[in-house]
Amino acid sequence: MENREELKQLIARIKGGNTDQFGVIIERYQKLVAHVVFKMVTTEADREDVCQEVFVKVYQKLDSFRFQSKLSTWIATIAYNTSLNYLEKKRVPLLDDVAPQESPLERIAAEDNTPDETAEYKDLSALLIEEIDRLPVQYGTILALYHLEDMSYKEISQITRIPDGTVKSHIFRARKLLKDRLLAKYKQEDLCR
Amino acid sequence: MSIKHLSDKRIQEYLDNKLRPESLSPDERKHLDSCQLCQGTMADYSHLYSGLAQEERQLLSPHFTARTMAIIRALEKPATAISRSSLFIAFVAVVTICGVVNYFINIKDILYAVEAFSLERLLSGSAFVSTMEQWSSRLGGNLNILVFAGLLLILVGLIDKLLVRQKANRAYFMSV
Repeated sequence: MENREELKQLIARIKGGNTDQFGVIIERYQKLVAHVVFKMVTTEADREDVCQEVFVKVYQKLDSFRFQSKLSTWIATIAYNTSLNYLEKKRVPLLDDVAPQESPLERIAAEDNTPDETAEYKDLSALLIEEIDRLPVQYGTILALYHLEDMSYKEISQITRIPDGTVKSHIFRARKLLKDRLLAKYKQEDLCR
Repeated sequence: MSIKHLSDKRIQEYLDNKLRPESLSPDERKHLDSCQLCQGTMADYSHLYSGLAQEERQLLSPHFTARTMAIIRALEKPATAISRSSLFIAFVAVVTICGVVNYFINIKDILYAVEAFSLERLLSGSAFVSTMEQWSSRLGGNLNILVFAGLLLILVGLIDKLLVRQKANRAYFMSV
């Protein structure tokens, strides 16, 4: 996806005063930024504003980008830090729910869904999105970078400033948590039928 | 079949390595081939992996790029706006001061004032106070008007800068 020479020329044009060319950067990396920001910023109304703030920062800091890392890693780092600042302002914890206080089955029972309501969850992707949103924000972000952006543990470690090993263990724990919750939800559906 | 099942971590590592046989030990491979429970767990994870890789949802609005570009373009404008307003203020200040000076004092008085503040006089320490007094008396007490005009200009300048900054901030925080 990232052609170094092409990117260098593009950035040189932007630095040279061709601001409109920055639109190419936005088009190319908006999905990456959204994957980071949407996982961390839970308030829907604020998500797009934070994404805009990220690109404004990218534009303002473009002079300091020296191609020491991939542009995607650099942009994702800015997105991550901007989202972190947002979370700090809103006092949202990063890892608040690592060990669930109740088992998935208990939680589902507590939700007291009717069979009709539960039937809505049959679509795996919708169910998955809902469960990802329930994960601690940092787990969701790391999973998105790994599975949606195909980033390595090392790249994720650079972005989040978390050691490689911790990134790996976060990914394993997040996936196990998701698998257990999804299975529990499917079992609940079977019970409701 | 050995009793020890593969842990979730080992199954995930196997899937992360694209099911490469070398990522499992021979014993683990043998176990996986014959254990339905581990195969089931692996199938669950396999489904989860494909779900995670395809997780698509409504992300950004279709006009996101255009709106962000509008903000970025607006960010560049304040510098021009401030310099233009500064030029305008400087021009108005010069014209007003010239007008006030022209109205209240003649050119001889200005030269007199320059002489009063000249380095030579200041260094010699002679006649500075008396020259100032003479100059002030010639103005007939109108020095206060000059001070008032100067302060008024500074105030106008500050208000103008404040307004320009507010406009710039609005352009930054609001999507156009």
